[in-house]
Amino acid sequence: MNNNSALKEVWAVSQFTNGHTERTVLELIGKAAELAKDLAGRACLILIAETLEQEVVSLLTAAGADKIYFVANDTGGALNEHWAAREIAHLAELYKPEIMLFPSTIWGRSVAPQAAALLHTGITADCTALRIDENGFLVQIRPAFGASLLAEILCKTARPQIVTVRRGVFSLPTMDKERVGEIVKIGQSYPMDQIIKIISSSSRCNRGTRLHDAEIVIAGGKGVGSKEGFEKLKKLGKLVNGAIGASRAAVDAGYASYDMQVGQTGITIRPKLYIACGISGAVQHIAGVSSAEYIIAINTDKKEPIFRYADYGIAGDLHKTLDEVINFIKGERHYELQKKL
Amino acid sequence: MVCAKQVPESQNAGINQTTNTVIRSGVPLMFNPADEHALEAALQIRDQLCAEVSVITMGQKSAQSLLRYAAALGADKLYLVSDKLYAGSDTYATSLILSRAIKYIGGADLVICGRRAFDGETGHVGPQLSIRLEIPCITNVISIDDCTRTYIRCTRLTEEGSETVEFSLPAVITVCEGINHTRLPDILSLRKAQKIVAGEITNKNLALDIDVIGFGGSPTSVKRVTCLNFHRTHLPLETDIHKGASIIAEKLLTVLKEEGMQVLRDE
Repeated sequence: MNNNSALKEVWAVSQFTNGHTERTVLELIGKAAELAKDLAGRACLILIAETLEQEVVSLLTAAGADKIYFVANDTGGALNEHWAAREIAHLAELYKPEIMLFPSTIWGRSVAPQAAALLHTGITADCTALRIDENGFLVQIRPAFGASLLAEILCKTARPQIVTVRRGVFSLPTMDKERVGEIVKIGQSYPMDQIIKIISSSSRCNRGTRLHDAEIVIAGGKGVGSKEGFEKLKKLGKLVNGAIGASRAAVDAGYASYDMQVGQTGITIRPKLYIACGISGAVQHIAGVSSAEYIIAINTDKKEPIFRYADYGIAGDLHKTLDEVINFIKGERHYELQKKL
Repeated sequence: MVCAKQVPESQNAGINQTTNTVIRSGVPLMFNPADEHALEAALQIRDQLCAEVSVITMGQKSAQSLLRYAAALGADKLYLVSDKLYAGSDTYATSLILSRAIKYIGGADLVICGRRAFDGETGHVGPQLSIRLEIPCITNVISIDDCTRTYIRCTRLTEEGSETVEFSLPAVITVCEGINHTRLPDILSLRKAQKIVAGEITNKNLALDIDVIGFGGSPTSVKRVTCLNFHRTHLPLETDIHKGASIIAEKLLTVLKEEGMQVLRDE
């Protein structure tokens, strides 16, 4: 094993579960490659999986991975956060990366801080930008206080510099099929434990697109009026591959479930388009959606604060408006609109 | 053992430009929302198991008011971890200090934290506490399905949906705000709690090396803070639903096109 490599390594660490995570992995590798270039080092990827398929290797290498650390694990171990944190920290002790990038998923947000504590180093959550400064430090930029501030954070005294990064923050790297990479196969250091036993799991995928990922989010507030009222939102969501969210007021009223709650006490989202239907716009709600690229609000009451945060607002009945939107999209006019684009 | 934090009530708290830390003086403070749900979860477990609920917080003297509120809600034991030496601690140092304090007061069977603080929004302290205490951690719990003195079964959020897991105690769990509805204290409990002063734990008790606490013991430091202004186009408010709907439809189709996707039509 090579502990004293002269080249600095930037690691991308990600869980490999299903198609959904692939985009995040590529985004992380792309960023790792950029940072590695600035450090004149290498971009590496930690891959914990059952098998190592050539197709995956080619893809990851083309995306920018100079080196893939492959940990063979036949029990879906990457998902076991307790084990993964220890295994990954152990690898980092051996190979001493300069930087580690984790996805800001529920998995990453649990594994990364645990690994940081094991490695006695610092960690910054939810970075939206990363760069190397003139001293070679990783400048970790993250929104704070409900996205009203941007903080630049440094980890000067300890290594590695660990951050978690949200999906979609970095763009997909340009694929270069000519690139060559190295594969380092490593045996599992820690026995797979059953300290945390998974009894059952349920997936909300069948209920539509996931909120974290979605580029279009349609959310309802108390103004939706009932649980049934959300069906209209879902109908539109299905047409445009949008995810359905809800404000806290709607969740409290029993119109929607907590896993749909958008805002500071729910999920923070950053879609391209956010449509707030019957949402008044409490500060906590705005904090969770203010990173959306474009915000549209529909509300009967012109005085609701949501309109202050929206790019475009419609003062009117949300059900009637959504019906019209659905008609436009489904109907003949759809083609007219497409032609206009 | 519930770990709670007092956080600024407002999102617009000031920043000290020299130390780059949040200015806490003069800003109304509140119980971190997720932590209040953590306390509620603990109280519910206690009522079933005849256990004891302790609340621990790290912060300035003002955090006594948070502990008084916890007492009014029914917490049995209260601890304030407070020392000037702890100022400026990042999550790495905070989790070290808190874990040392928890050990100092005799440990806990179950440590419950909120999934993240309203101000810092990192969610790191819970998982890091588990490492310090050498016990497992499950984050983002949305329901506690069964709990005995030695074991817990709970449901937590995952990226795909949720999963139900079980594990032996001691352990750390972090809970989402959706796990329960918090209770309100009654007037009598509030009045009784007014006189309570929680025991303070300082570095005299914990004897942590100054190299691992506060500003000096924190691997991360804030270099600069800038204000963000969101630029919204603020088009005039539309009152014609038909016109509004066509603009929404157009915007939806634009985003779909950018994403290389099409309208999904089942029928």
